[in-house]
Amino acid sequence: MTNETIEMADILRQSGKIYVVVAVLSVIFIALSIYLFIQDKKLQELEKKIKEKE
Amino acid sequence: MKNLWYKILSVVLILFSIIAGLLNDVPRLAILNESIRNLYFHVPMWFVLLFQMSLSLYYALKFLSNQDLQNDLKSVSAAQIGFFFSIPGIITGMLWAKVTWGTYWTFSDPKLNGVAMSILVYTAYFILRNSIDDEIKKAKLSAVYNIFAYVMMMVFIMILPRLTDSLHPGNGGNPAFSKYDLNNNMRIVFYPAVLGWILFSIWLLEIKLRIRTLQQHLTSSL
Repeated sequence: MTNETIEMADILRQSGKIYVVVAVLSVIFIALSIYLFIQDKKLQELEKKIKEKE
Repeated sequence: MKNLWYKILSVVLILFSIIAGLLNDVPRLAILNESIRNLYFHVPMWFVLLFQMSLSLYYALKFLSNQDLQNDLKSVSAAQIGFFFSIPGIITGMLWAKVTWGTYWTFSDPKLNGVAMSILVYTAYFILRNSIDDEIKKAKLSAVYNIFAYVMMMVFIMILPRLTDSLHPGNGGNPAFSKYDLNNNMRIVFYPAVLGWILFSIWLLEIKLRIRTLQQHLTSSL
């Protein structure tokens, strides 16, 4: 199945521009997960406060 | 932070699937071309659905055996998370189908129909829950219906597509995850992607349950 005539994004890879796409997607995903970590942390503080009240 | 290790692991695994998923070598196949990389992102959505629905069934059975409403809460929350992941699953599948099969939706593929039916079956599950006021009755009925819904989903998306012709690999006698359509190069990205997304969905479930617990504290203290 190693048919070189089948069209793939070889030029995008050779020019290195694919790394820009990978970097953009990674940055977005990392940013979103950091945000989720922060929300998790805030939720934990809230849980602590409620426990102290009881 | 609570259970920090698996949250970090899920983020690392998904990040790995994004980076390696776009950069590693994939088989050069006609029609699929570069879109074969969708495997790393589209298929894990459905693995998450199956995982969460199985979790939902597990807690439904647990509720039926010990009548603890906490298990009912876990059961419905898992079903909601699983249901949520079917939306990106359907949309990514439609986009992928457009470039490979030439259409966004085809009724000749049993897996698409099966998924549509399963989504309706679980929609009925949520509607059933909302239509009963008595908490215990609601939990009991929806736990029983959950078993039915899970079996229906298994028939619709795992059994029927394998009995007839399907465009999906692994159905209608086509092998999936075999040497023909998933080589080792793809496995080292695909499996971490599936695990990463499943862990990610567990994280979302945990947050959902913790918020619900806080809400319960709030209503009981008022």
